[in-house]
Amino acid sequence: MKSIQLSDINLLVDTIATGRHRIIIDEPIQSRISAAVLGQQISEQSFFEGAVSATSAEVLISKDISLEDLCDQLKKLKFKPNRRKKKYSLPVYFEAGSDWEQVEAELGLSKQVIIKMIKQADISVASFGFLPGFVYLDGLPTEIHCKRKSIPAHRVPAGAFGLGGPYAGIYHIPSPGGWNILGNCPIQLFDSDTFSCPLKVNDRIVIKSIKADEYEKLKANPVTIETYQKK
Amino acid sequence: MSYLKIIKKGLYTSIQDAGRYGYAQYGIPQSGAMDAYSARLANRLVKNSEESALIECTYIPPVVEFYKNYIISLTGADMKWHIDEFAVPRFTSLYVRKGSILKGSAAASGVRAYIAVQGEIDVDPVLGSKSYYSGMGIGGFEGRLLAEGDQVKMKSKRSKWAFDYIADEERPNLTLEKLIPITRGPEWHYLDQDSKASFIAGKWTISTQSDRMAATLLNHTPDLKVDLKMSSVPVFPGVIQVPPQGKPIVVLNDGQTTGGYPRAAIIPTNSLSIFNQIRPSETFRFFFVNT
Repeated sequence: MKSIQLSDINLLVDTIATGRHRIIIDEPIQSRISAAVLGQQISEQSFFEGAVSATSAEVLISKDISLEDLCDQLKKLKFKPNRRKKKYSLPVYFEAGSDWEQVEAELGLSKQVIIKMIKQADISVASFGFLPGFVYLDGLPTEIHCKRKSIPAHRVPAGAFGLGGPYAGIYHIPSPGGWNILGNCPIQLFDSDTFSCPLKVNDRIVIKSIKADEYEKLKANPVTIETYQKK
Repeated sequence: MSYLKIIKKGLYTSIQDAGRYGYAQYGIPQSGAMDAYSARLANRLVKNSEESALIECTYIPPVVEFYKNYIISLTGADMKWHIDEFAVPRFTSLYVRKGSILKGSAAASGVRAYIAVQGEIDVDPVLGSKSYYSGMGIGGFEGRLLAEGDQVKMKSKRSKWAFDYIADEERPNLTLEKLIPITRGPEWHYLDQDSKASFIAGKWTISTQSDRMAATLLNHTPDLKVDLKMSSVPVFPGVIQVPPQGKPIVVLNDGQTTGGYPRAAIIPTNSLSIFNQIRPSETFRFFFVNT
């Protein structure tokens, strides 16, 4: 693997298939930086537009360039590990959760306590992907980390808010799902024409508990995340 | 008006083009023709650009009626195609008259066949592609598979009839036993010694559960053993993941963009066309190539 130094972190880069390069962060524990943060900033460079996918462990660049050219481009990146984050509040209707019983039993906590912990948690956007429009959120206290289901639910609805391992997640499309569904987030996180998302990796999220009437209103007329912030 | 009408839908018939690129970051797969090589040949025969949308047929072909004179081509799997009562060859351009009916029978070799029509299939692209993707119900014909009674409109170019064919040596050979090239994946070393050996020496088949998202591989030797602890990483079509139950899964065109299983090996993109023509009843082998 080739090694490049970028601000305070060291990147390891190699080619895993024709036109597919991966980037991992050397000693990620010490540098305490998620590859998803790096991936977000690389994807904002016009040279890499549409060519990046990332998880917290690894960045994949799908572009037909040589490893040398890739490294040269990466060296131009002014990577800011602690870039200023935006703060968004996201509404969740917790009565729409289908898995409360199992989660209360597993964690030994009541629904009220769990909701309170979610609302007070220091949550941020961890990464995207896995399914179209799926958003991973991290920063939940360890007391409410819970196991994913051993047998995934046949169908989880769009907007489902769930917990899985250390993460909370929001399903954008209806799909089979292994997460514990605790509610529904009825706003539009992605632009339906361009599939762009105002949320960026590392942005801060505050979960707001909403009541049935507001949920029904938003379900009937979904607003974008930006419109919702102005309310 | 210029259109084709679907008289019978076949097993899984959809509109596909070269794919939807640039959205993997948000989990949207590339989709597109599973046998991209045959799709390009089909487009070349009708003088369309190689990335143009066409009709992908899976195992059982549709029955299609033409409502105008068209230049078409048929590539990929051998569906024993007929236009009206006449048997017609694959890998050549064909002139079909208004009112003709194209039909075939279950694939005699291969799995996926392509019908290209000169001109442009007039459906709206979604996120830059006309490829149907079932996971979001986007692309294709109104966000779905083709169905009986659908009228697929064509934006026709002025017809340029010039007979063309693909030379024998350029046609994919779908009847030979297949040897699929692979390269080592980033987590190849997660396999134990026996599993590495059986991966290479083994005769493999594709499970009947396989689809456009993924193919599950079956082997006659014991299941592979992998060291499991790893975090979720990006994947793409051609990546062979080995989950804990030991049956490898090949990520395909409509597959997930991240995965939590070791990426043992990778089928190079240009070899996915032949891989995607393997039938569940066929055995095949892997061999290593250098990247």
